[in-house]
Amino acid sequence: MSSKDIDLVSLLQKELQDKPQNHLDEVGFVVRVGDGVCKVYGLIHAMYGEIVHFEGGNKGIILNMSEDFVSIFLLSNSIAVVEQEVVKRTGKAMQIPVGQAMLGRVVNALGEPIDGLGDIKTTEHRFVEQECPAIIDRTPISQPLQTGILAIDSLVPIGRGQRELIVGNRNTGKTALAIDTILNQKGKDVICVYVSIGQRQGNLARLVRQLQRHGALDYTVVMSADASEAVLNQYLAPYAATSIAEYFMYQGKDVLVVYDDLTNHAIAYREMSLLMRRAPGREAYPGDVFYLHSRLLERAACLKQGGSITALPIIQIQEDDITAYIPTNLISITDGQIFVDTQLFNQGIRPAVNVELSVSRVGGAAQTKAVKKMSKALRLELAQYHELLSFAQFGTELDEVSQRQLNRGAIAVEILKQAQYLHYSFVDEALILYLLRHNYLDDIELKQITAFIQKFISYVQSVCSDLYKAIESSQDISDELAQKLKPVSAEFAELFKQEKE
Amino acid sequence: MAISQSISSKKYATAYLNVFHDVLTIETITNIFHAAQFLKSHAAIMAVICAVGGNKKDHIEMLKKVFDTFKITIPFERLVGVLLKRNDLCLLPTVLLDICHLYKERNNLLDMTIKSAQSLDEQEIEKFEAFFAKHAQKKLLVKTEVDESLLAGVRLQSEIFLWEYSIASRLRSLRQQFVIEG
Repeated sequence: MSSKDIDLVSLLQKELQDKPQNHLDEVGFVVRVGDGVCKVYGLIHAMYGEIVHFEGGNKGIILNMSEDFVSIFLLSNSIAVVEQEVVKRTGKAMQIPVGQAMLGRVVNALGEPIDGLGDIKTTEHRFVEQECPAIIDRTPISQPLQTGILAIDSLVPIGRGQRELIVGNRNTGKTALAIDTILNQKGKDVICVYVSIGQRQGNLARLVRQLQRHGALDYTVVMSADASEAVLNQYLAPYAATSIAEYFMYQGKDVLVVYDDLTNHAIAYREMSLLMRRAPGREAYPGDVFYLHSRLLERAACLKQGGSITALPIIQIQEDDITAYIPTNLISITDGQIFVDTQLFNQGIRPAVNVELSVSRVGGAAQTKAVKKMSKALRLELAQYHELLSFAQFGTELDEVSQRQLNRGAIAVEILKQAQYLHYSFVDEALILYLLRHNYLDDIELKQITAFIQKFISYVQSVCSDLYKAIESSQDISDELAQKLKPVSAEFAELFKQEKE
Repeated sequence: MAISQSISSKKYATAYLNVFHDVLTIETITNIFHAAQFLKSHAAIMAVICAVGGNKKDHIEMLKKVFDTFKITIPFERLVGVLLKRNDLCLLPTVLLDICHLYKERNNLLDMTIKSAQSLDEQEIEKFEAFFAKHAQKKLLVKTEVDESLLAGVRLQSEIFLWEYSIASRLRSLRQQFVIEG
């Protein structure tokens, strides 16, 4: 007898043993259905956000209530709902299974596995909509979340518990930044949750393969609400993913959540609102679209008792227009933004982080001393470089100081270039910035700079491992360590020069 | 129907019940309900009545024929007069339905259908009625129906409550577990 037969027998047995219930079910009747939403008469004691069961097997969530009718969004597009079908109340709000077993799995917005690896055995459930942590439970951000990307860790540092928006046009490497950040969490005791909203299934499959290849899936939960799914699932996915993240956070773990992307989330909510005949506002979004994202991102926090959720929401903009409705909302909600520039991307500067428009409002406090000390003047140097560059384009003759600034700026841009899947530790980053700060890169050809810094890092790691470890343990390049680093750098620069000759 | 129309219709119904509540009986309410459903499903008839010009008498005359068919003997001329005066005659079917709903609500009445796979005797019906009335806390207007699709068992259903103990519901639940939830 197969396991499926045994299951059937036990199920039938359970059904036969069932006694008639001694209460009445509260029900309603479908009056109208279409576009993934149905209007139901009855359900007199229904609650907002309550799950309801249709007699035909579908499920839905009550999202609008008027005097006579309730609007219910369907959780599945594939199960038919017909007129006059009976709808039963459950009295429960939407919940999602949570637990350790979710790690390494790809699930849908309901927490059901979609990776073909069988059931996920969890015992706990959490509500999809949760209250965000209270002020009293929070603590200021003090620990860095290393992305492994020099441009971010040095100029727009992210702290554990921060909400940092990634904003940019399509195909500029926004998802790549987020994925690199996830990959860099390997061995750092950070759990990652990646939510794909309204994306193509092919893209997600590729992404999961990448995570698997780099061994990052073991500490990651991937949630997918792809473009073909019911609009309700796309709306629920980020909240459900945050509930999974909260489960880990309340266990004292640090969690990183990537929302890819909230533009699609806002579009899904706009569609739902228009179907519910709510009044459209700017760009046809409903009036509460700000609250839609603020209540989601307020759930990211750094808790006093330990544990945090760092949120990396992604937003796609059109034609570099950062002033559109949803981007401005999210910029005001989050603690900073990383602006990914198409122009820089096309110039081959990758990651294409525009350092002038990018900012981190709280991450500075969490930056390691070593990186903070070494990157002090970097932003200013880059700003001066970009300003001078526009003058230089007119063929203006430049004085020696300006020429020097231009050269240093070009070197700074060069060191911030970083290939995808190449991650620096904070010691590596401090060493690179040390080289720039103490002019060891000034005589190196621009083309050689990447090779120089890569080799220098390996040189320090292998030849002066004590020094490397000292920086790692103290998280600082003290004057004493800087003195020790000086001859090492000079020696390596000489060796590099000789090698080239 | 637009929200404002639904609100207006409820207001007409409330006003009518405030004046004529004592004249109405359960039997009349059932007849009004059937007439309202007929007018709702035959929108063309209502359209013709609304489109006819002339005075109030012509409209009342036409509607009287419909009402007589459904054996409605209540005074409705004043209601039609008010609706005509406010250019809301097209709301009549909805107003009539609202009158039925409000009347039942005020008198704590609930329509209930007992569906069973085989016909039930008086005693069984009384038992089910008592059970349903106890839990719904309402006076019931019971209707019985034989529904072979239940296979075996019974289904007690009103507009807002449901109780079912049948083979069909068991099969539905099994289908849910095996086919839909995998």
